[in-house]
Amino acid sequence: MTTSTAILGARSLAKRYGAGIALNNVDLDVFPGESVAIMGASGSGKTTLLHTLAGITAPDSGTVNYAGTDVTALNETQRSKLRRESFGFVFQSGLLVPELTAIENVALALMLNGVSRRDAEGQAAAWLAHLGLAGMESRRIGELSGGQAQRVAIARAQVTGARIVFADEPTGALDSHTSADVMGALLDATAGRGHTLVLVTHDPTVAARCSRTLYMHDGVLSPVAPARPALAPQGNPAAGTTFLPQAGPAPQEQNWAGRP
Amino acid sequence: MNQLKSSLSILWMMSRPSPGSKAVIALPAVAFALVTALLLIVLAGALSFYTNPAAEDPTGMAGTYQGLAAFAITLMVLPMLTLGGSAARLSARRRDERLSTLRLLGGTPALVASMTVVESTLVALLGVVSGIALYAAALPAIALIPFQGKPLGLAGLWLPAGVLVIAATALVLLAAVSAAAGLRQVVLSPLGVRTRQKAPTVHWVRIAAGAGAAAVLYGFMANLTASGTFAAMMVIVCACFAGGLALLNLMGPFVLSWLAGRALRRAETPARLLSARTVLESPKAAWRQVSALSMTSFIAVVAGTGLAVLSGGGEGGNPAEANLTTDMRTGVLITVAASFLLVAASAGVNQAASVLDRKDLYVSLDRLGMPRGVMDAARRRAVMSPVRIVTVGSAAMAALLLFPLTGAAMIFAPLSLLVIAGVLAGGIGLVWLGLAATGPVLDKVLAQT
Repeated sequence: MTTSTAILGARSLAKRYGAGIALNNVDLDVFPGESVAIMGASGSGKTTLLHTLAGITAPDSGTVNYAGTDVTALNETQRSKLRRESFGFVFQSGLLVPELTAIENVALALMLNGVSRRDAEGQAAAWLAHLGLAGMESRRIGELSGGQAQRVAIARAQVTGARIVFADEPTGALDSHTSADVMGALLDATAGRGHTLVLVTHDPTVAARCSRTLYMHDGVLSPVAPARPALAPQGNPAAGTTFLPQAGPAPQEQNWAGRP
Repeated sequence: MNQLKSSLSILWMMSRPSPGSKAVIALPAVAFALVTALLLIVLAGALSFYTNPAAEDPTGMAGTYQGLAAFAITLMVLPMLTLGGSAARLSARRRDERLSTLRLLGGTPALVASMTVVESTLVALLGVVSGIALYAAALPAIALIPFQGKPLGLAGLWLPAGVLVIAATALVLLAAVSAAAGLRQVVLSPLGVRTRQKAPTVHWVRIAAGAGAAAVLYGFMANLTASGTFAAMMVIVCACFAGGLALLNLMGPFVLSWLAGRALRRAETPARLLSARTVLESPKAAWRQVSALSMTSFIAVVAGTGLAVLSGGGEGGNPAEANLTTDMRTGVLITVAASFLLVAASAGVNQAASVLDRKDLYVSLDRLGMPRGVMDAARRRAVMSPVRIVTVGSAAMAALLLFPLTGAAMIFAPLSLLVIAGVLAGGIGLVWLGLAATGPVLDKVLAQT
C-alpha cells in the first residue's frame, strides 16, 4: 500500500478519554473510490477514529492527511471550513433540520459554501431525484420515512461534490430491508461515482457491502476481526452470532456498489 | 411522605452538575430573581401611592395616581407570567435525561415528576430570594425617581414583611404549577414539535376581522375631539386601547407568519432560511414570546402621544396637573423598560431551553461545518425579527389610531415622541443582549462532542 495515492492517511493516531484508550497508534490509508467499513463494539474507538479522520476531534498525537493537507495542523475554523467544503456526513438518525423541507436541507449544504439559493435548490432537486425522492422536495422531515430521511442526508452529503463521505452507523435506525436500500443508495452516491466512503457500523451485512472492512478493538485498528466475539453488545444476539462469520478482511477489490 | 423522602434523597444524588446543567439551573434562577425584583419594585412604587396619608394629598389626585399604579401593575402581569412559565419549563427540562436513568433504577414516572417539581420549586425559591436582595439593592436608585414633584423617597418604598412573604410565596407556587403543567405537556406529547408533520397555517379570517375592527376604532378616534369633555375623551381612548390590544393579539400570529413566509421566499443565506422556517414552525409560539411587547409598545405610543399633547397644550394648567402629566410619562417609561427587561429575560431563557432541547441537531450542524456565526445569526434572527415587527408594528398601529393626536404631538412636543422611540429602540437592544447571553450554552453543547 503506498501513501502517494491515498486520499486520506492517518499516522500514529492516539487519543485518550481519561483512563480509556480510544485510539492506540492507529495507521490507516484510504484510497479514492474505496468504501471502507470500520467495525467494532461500543467503546472500541471506532467513532473516535471516524471523528478524528473527519477533523471533528483533534487527536492527542499523530497526524491526519487529507489530499495533501495536514488536518491535525488546522485550527477549529479551518477544520470547520474543510468539513463544509470537502467532506460529506451521514449520521445514524439523519439529523436533518426538522423545520426545513427536504430540498432546503440539501440546499443548505451548498448555501453554506456561498452558492445562491436558486442554484443550490436546483442541484438539490437533481440529487433528490437521483435518489428516488422526486416529488418529495417540499416535504418536511417529519413527513418522510426513516429511509427517505437517510436518502435526504445522503443527498446533503454529496450535493457539494465532497470527494469523501463519513458515515456513522448510517443504517443503525432502520429495518434490514430499508437498511439494504439505503446502503445501496449510499454506495451508489459515493464509491459508485469514484468518491470515497468511510463508514462505522455494528452491522456485518452493511460492512460486507463495502470494499474493505477493518476492525477496532480497544483502540487498535486491525484488518482481522478479534478472535472472540467478546465485545458483542449484550442483549443483541444477532450481533453475537453474526460477528464471527464476517471475520477476516473482505476482498480488497470487491465492489458491491452496484455502479450505474 | 415516604415518596417525598425518597424523591428528595434521589434528587440530592442526581443533582450533581452535568454538562449544560448549570445553565439549566442558573438561567431560571436569574429569571425568577428578575421577576421577583421587578414585581416588588413595581408593587412598592404602586403601594407608595396608597400608603401616603390623605393629609399629604392637597391636590386631591391620590385616586388618579392609585388608579394608574394599579393599571401599570396589571400591564406587567402578562410578561411576568410568560417569563415565570418559561423559567419553570426550562427547569423541568432535566426530566427527560433522568427518566431513562431512573427507569433503570426502577423509579416510577410519579417519582420523576415529583422530583422535577421539587427541583423547579427549589430553583425558583433560590431566584426569589435573590430577587428580594436585588429589590433591596435597587431601592436607593428607585427612591430617586421623582413623582408629584419630589423623589419617591426610600421610606415609602420598603414593603411590609407580610407583602414580601405573600409575593414570594405566590411566585414560588407559580413556578411549581408551571413545572407541573410543563410535565403534563411532555407526558401528553413526548415528541412535541419534532413529530409535527405540517407547519401550522394561520387563517386569513383573523386579518379580515382585524381590518374591520381597526376601521371601527379609527372612526372612534377620528371623532375623538367631537366628544367634548376630557372624561369622555379618556373613555374613548381607553376603549380604543383595549380594542387595539385585542386586535393586535388577533392579527399578531398571522402577521408574523405572513412576514416570515415572505422572508422565507427571499432568503438567500442559511441564517435567513433557518430563522424564517423557525418562525413558520410555530407563529403562535413566536407571537406568545413577544406579545407582551405589542402591549408595551402600543401603550408607549398611546400614552406618550396623549401626554405629549397634554403637556404641549398644558400652559395655564395648575401645577398638580402638570405634575400628573410628567409622572404619567415617568410611569409609562418605567413600565415599558420593565416589560422589555422581562421579555429579554424570557427570550434568553427560551433560547437556552431550545439549544439544550436540540443539542444533537446543533452538534450535527457543527460537524457538517456550519460556522458558529451562522448558528448564532439564525437563532438571533428568529427572535429579533418578531421583536422588531411587533414593536414597530404595534407602535405604528397606535400612531395610526391616534393620528389626529400623533400629528399634534409631532408639532407640539416632538421631543417626547423621540424619547418614546429611543426607549423602544433601547428595549430591542435589551432583548438582543438577552439572546447574546445564551451563547455560552451553545458553546457548552458544542464542546461536548
